Order: sequence, then structure tokens, then C-alpha cells
Amino acid sequence: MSHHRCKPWEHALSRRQWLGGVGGALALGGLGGLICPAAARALEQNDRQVLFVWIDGGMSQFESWDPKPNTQFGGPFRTIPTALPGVHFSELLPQSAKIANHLAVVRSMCTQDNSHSAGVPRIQRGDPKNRGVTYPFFGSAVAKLLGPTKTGLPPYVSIKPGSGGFIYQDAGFLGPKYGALAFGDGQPPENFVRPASLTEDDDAARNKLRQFANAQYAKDHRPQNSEAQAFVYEMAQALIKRQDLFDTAKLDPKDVERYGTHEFGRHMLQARNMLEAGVRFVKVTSYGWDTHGDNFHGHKSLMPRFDQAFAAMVTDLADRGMLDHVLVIAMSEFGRTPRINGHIGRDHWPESWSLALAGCGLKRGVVVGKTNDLGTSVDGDAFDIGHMFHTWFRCLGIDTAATQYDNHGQPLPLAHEDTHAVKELLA
Amino acid sequence: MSLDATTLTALFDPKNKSAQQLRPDRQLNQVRFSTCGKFLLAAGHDGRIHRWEVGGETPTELPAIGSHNGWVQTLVFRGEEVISADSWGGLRCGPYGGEQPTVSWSVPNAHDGWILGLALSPDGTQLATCGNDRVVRLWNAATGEKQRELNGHATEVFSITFATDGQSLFTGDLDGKVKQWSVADGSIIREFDATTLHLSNRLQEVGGARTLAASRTGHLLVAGTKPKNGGNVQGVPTILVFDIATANLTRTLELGKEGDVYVTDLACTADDVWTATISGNPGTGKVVFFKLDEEKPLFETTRLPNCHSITWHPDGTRFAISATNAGSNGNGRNLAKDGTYPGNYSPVHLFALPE
Repeated sequence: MSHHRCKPWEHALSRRQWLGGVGGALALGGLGGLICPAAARALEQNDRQVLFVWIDGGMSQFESWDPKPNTQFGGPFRTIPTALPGVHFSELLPQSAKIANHLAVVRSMCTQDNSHSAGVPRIQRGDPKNRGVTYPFFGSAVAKLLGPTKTGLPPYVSIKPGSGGFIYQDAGFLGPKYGALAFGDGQPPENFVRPASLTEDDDAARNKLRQFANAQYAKDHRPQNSEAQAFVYEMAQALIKRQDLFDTAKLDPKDVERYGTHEFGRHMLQARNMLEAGVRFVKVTSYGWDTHGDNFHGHKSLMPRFDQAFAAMVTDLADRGMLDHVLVIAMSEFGRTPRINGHIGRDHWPESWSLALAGCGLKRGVVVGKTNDLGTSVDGDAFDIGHMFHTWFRCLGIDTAATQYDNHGQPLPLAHEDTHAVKELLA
Repeated sequence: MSLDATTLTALFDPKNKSAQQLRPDRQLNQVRFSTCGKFLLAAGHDGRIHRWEVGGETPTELPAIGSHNGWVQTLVFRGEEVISADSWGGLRCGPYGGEQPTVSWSVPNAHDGWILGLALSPDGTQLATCGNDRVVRLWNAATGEKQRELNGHATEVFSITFATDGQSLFTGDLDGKVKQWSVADGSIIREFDATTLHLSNRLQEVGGARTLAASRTGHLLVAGTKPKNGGNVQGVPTILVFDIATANLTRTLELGKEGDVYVTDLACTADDVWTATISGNPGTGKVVFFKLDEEKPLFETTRLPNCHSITWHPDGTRFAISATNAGSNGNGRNLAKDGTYPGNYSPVHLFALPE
């Protein structure tokens, strides 16, 4: 007998549920579960992973992937040749230049928002059409679509400076279960270690009681609540078994030196280890790139640290054969203006900027798109973030043409339907 | 005519019609009057040295010279020649007068990358350079032949100046460490702690000893900012004054608010009046006149936005300041009225002391 107050939608069947998926579209339930279990199971067999490097504030494309030396807006730096004949990066990326044969660089990004506050979530959600719902960040989307890997480790983690916690907002309409588990400065969550006063047997007994109580609760309530509760505990248990992922004493000193002892280096090394351990989606964030002032000395300081750790990561993934199943993304919310302001800085510039990719599903050693000689506009086809989302989903084995979200019966495309995957990037 | 607050107030009064303005088409890093006083030269973001003849009543722009790469960062005069350094590591020496000046010597790879500082010894025989490659080098100023390399800085070396007697050389780096080197044997004589001009913030090292100047009174001025953060750098423009003999900090001059950020250049008159240019957030900017032995500045003005360089004419009656055009910043594609995407430029303001 039901003891709780039912809500109308709990008795409703969505149009797609009723049709049982007829129509050829595969719909994945938001809070309401999966519609086509066979296809969903196929996705769950997927071993693809993602490293998402978020350069918060706006890395300058002039001082990185798309330099314009000896031009009006080119700035003071030289360029250097890369492992790709005819392709040059800024002199501030010497390590990445050496491994450019693994990279797919996009130089023709043109997006819509030049503000941080709106631009960051807009980019990370793929800037879909406005349908009155909050779309999930890419990490949440992958956590939902692919779930955890067989390891059972949390599917979406975020290694970031500052504080940690659970960032449920990333999940949008998917529901908080698909938020990001954030490790502040790479530290584990609080209460990560079982207290000495609690034995392993006692801990097992408590968990058994918890599971029993949860099952009893589930009989009379919506399944989502108990599922979320179980999910959190199961993820925590899987993570607790991998305390080594947070133990810096276990790191190879040579790796520490290669990645760099600075914050970004430490976080990237931890990210590599988490990918190796089987975390589905690892986000690493670096702050402090909003160089409205002193842009050139700023990038001179910032870029080598990014370059060191990024190149070490791509090299390690390649050496371990992991680039075949890990998608690597390194990007900001926009680039920086060609015009140099009075504070010798560059301002926000979504008009023509760059990002770097590597890994599964992508061609290797390519530069896609270009800007004009001055770097003031895209020359040729421009790509919005929707194009990237289509491309990334494709790299992960998800067909955005055949797959939709189902938000309480509201079908929603995975990415902006007026954009498409960039075939020049796809292997 | 002595430099005092009344004179300076009148000079910087917007109603003062005697001030002149030069309008190069690019942003400038540095302006300097030639030692003969007939020319004003400026180091440009376009790899060229911009030139004006200033001997007459009205300055006349001459064709720009130089075939530098990247930015011309800094220049010094040696007789009738100018020696200039660029952001790709190149050094160049040649006459600065005439329609099509030639090149006397050049060293394309004097440094690996951005040369940040250049200084000429008082006797004009030696050139000293420093840069992003963390190395300091001494050169024969007449020929461009490398004489010595000074290694000791752990970070980028921003600034360099000879002592007034030419026997030693001061260099300042990103960490705020300033070293005094013997020119004779390259040994380090003493070190000055200007590390308050540096900050480690997130992934960035911010600030540094950006400008150095040695005074006739035995002081070393180390200028930059007391940084508050990286990214969009904010900080209080600051000059640290050291007693050279003891390396003791004798005075700290804080010349503005956090948004004013950097002291960008220093110059001193024959009467020991110092001028500092200050540039921070777009639209901010100050010029401060001060004396080392006086507590308060002689005069300061915020009339010129984003000032990057100051130079006094050798006759002491004129000075020039390079600033930045108004409205230099803005997110996104801000187009000019004709639909083009405009760059910024550095107007040069010329002031003449009343007779």
C-alpha cells in the first residue's frame, strides 16, 4: 500500500514510453529511467573516457595555438615549428609542439558569449536551443549516457583548486545524481577514511542495515530517491577502495617532475591516475587566465606550466595506448582580443579562438579551421560549441542523430540541432 | 625655470595650449629623446623605431626605422647611433638621423626570446642586456661583440641599469630579486630584496622588479607593483628605494591604488626630480613627480590614461610621455565607425617648461 502522496507525473506515461521507442529514436530517461534498455546497455559497455581540461578565464589563442607573429595584433612572442610540418604554435608551447602529432587543434571556434558568468555554463552545456530546461554540463551528460565504468568509480569527477564537494548544478535537468564530485586541490572528500574505532565488520554490518532501510523506503516511494542514495554510497565505497588515488607518497618522483610540482601539474598527474583507475570523466580546472592586464608576462608565466603538464599527459596516454579510448579536450570559455588594451592586456574574444583535442575518435596530427592573417575573424567555416558537442559525443560512440534525452516525456537533443559533428576532426 | 608644483599644475592644465601631441599609428613601449636633443625616438609594437624631429617649434614625423621582429622593447643612444632591442631576442645598432638610416651592427639572437632590458655604460663602451631567458649579457657597444654572460637569476630578468660610476650593473627579476654585479669580473657584489614586488598567485608568478634606476645620491630605485592577484593583474604601484652601499631599504613609495598597478618608467632631472609613469586598468594612468628626500610627491596627475614611458630632453626644459588612447579596452568585436577593427595607439604628449 502506498503511504506517500503521489504526484501526477508518477502515474503518467510519456508519449515515448507508450510508443515503446517506436520511431527509431533511442530516448534515455532523465529522472524517469531508460526507455530502450538494450541500447542503453550497449552504451554501458562502452569503455570510452574523457579528460576535460578547463582553462578558466580565457587562454589567448595568440599566445598558444594560433599565433600571428609580426602582425599588428600578434604580440611580442615568436612561433616555433611543431611535429606537424608547416604548423607553428606560440613559442610558449614547446612541449605541446613536440607532441602535436597526437593533437587535433581547432582554430576556428566562434561562439556567442563574451562574458564569464554566462559564457562558462553556456559553453560547458553546449549552448543548446532554449527549451526552458537547464542542460547538463558535458561531464554530467557523459555520466548519464555512459555511466560509471566497470570499476564503479564515480563517473564524473572534478579536480580543482579551492574547495571540493558535490557540484549538483552541473547536472541540469538530468538530476543531481549526475553532478560532479569535486576534489578541492585534489584532496579526497571529508570522512574518507573509516575511523579507527569502526571495524571493517561493523562497517559492513552498518552498510547492510543501510541497504535494508533503503529497500524498505523504496517500496513506498519514488525509486529515484533510493536509487540516488544507493548510488552515492556505492560510489563512495568504490572510491574508498582507491585511496591510493589521493596518496601523493605513492607517486613516482619522475612523474611528479615531468608534470610539474605546481598546482596544475599535480592535478593533471592525479587526473591521469584516475583515468588509469577507470574514472569515466575527469575534469581538471585551472583558474587565473583572465589576462585583461599584463597579458604577455602573464601568459609567459601560465603557459609553460600548462604546456608541461598537458604534454606529459598526452604523452603518457599515448604511451599507454589510452588515447584509443580517452577523449582529451583542453579549452576555455573564449579566446582573447587581438586588440591590446592600455593595461597591455587582451580582453574577451569569442569571435575567433582555438581549442585542442586528442584521443579516441579523432584524427591525430591535424589543425582544423583557420583565422585570417590578423586573427580578427575566422576564415572559412566557423564552429560553435554545439559542433564540438556533436563531435565529442561521436568520438564517444554516441550518435547524436539517433539519441535523445527524455526529460519527463520531453524529448531533448543531446546537442544543438542546428550544428553537426565536424567531419574534418573525426577519424 | 625650476620644477615645482605650480609649474607642473599649469603644464598639465587641460587649458594649456603649449602641450603638443604626437600620434603614432601603433602602441609604443618606450620613448626617448636623443642625446643631441634633436630627435625623439620610440620603440614600437610593430617592430619599428618611430622617429620625430623635435628641434624646431613643431615636431616632424620621420620615416620609422629598424627591421626588428616582434616588438621593439627598449632603446639607448650612443653618440649619433641608437641601439635597440626586440622581443625576439634581436639587437640592432645604427644611426638614428637621416631619411634612411643604415645598420652598423646587429645580433639577431642576442638572447633566446624577449629582451626586456637594455643599458649603456656611462662611458658608452659597454652594452648590457637582460631578458626572458634569465641571462644577463655584456657587449661591446661599438661592435656588438659579446663580452660576458652573467648567470644567477632564477627567473626572467626584467630590468637593468648601470651604476652612475659604471663600475657595476644592477639587474632585477620576476621574483623581485635585484643583483649588483661587478662589471670587471662579473661577480655579485650584493643583493637587494624587492620580493614585495612579486606574488605567486594560482599558476602565475606576478609582478617583479620591472624598472631600475640608480640615483646620483647613492640610491637604487626598484619599481613595479605590489601585486594583489594574477590574471587581470591588480596592485599598488610601488617604488622601493635602497641605499646602494648597504642594500638596506630606506623608503617605500606607494603611488596609487590597486587598480593603478604598475610603475612603468622612471626618469630623473638634473635637479634630482624624479618622474614616474604609472599604468593599470584601461583608462587609469598617472604621472608622479617626486624627490627622494621629500615625504610627499611634488605633483601628480591622472590626466593621461595608461602612461608607459617618460623621457626628459637633455636640456631639461622639455619632457615627453607616451600614454594610450582612450577607450582602449572592450570585450568582443568593437568596430570603428568605418566598420574596421581598430588597433590602439600610444599618443606622445610633449610638455615644455615655461621660460
